Amino acid sequence: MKRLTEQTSLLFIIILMVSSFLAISCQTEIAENKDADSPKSINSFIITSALNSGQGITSDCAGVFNGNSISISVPFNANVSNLTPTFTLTGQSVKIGTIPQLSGVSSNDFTTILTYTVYASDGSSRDYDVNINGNALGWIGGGSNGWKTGAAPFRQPNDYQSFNQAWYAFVDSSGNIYAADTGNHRICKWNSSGTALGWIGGGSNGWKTVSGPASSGTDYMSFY
Amino acid sequence: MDSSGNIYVADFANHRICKWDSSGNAIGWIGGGYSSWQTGSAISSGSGYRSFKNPINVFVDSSKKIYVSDYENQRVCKWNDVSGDAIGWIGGGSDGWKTGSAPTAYATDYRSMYQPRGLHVDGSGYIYVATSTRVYKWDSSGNAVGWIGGGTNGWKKTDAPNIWASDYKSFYSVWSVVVDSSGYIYSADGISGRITKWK
Repeated sequence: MKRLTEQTSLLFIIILMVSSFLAISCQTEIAENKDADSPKSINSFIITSALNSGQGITSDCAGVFNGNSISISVPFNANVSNLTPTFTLTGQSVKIGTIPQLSGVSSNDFTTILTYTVYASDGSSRDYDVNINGNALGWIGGGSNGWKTGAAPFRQPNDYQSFNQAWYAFVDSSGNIYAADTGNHRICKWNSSGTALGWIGGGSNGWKTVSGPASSGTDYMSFY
Repeated sequence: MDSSGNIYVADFANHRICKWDSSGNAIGWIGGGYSSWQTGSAISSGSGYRSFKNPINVFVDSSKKIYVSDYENQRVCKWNDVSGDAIGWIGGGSDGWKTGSAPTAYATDYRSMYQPRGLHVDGSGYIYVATSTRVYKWDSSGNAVGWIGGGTNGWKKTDAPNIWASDYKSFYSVWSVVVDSSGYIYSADGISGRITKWK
């Protein structure tokens, strides 16, 4: 008898779980439909110099949209902890958490990513992650000049525009980049535009733009 | 190197930071639980705030504070160059300069750093620390600003698994980080064959 009761309770629990799962699934479906039906978006997002010059914003900085993320670069010395963005919306309102946001009025601390939620008239919503600074600009290497935004090369050639396990980089006051290209036994120099200027080492003086060196060395003009 | 031309070396296997002057004279070392510059033989590693366990990188700022990536203690330590005493360390899942023992557990939250490698302090006192897959930023009070990497833009305060990735918003095997006077952040991403640039 006791066993029967246990089995009944177990069955009851399973039924309860299945039905609540179905209920949750249904609700999600309805919410998603609402999302799809009601237009809501942030259409532009700008940190203007007019409203933010006191924070070191010397010219207008526009947000770059990528799906639900908005990335903005502002001058290095700007105070990002108190900025007032200007934005345009499709939808009824926008909030951060529960706090309503007004274009050109509401100021926020943008030290880290902030999530703006746009609400449509039917109550459905869409999140945008806004980041100021902390933006990836690209990488150098891979056998050609320029800052690239594709996947990393994962090759170890010794032409002058590639790296073979460069473990350390240094930058001078003019923005030139010096890399210790360990696997290639050389020091490489690039300028801030992402142009390879050459490498030193290999047993002779001067910045070189050929492949090499052929091997490591122990003389005073080589690296090991 | 500091502004006077003194040279600081992270003596990885001796668990200490050595200082030499510009003429090549050894001045001493810090670590080993001591609170001043030492000239004796090297010591063993430790987890107290005045010790190191495989320190791997060192930076000296303009106010003569020494920052050390304490690799196997999962923290970044700050010392006073003048007195040779430790100030505290950051990491371990909370804000602020701490003087307790090193964190014992490894975590992926934005205030924990696993095997910190390269580090740099900019003109405003912000501390940038490279781990393999992230670059962390801390303010001079020891409060975490966030981390970059992981395939998205922005300084993040999220807890996420460390992912080694090759897209341009991710890091693969970063060993060094340096920040120029315009705020550009460069890191040498060794195995993936590139130098990355962020702002």
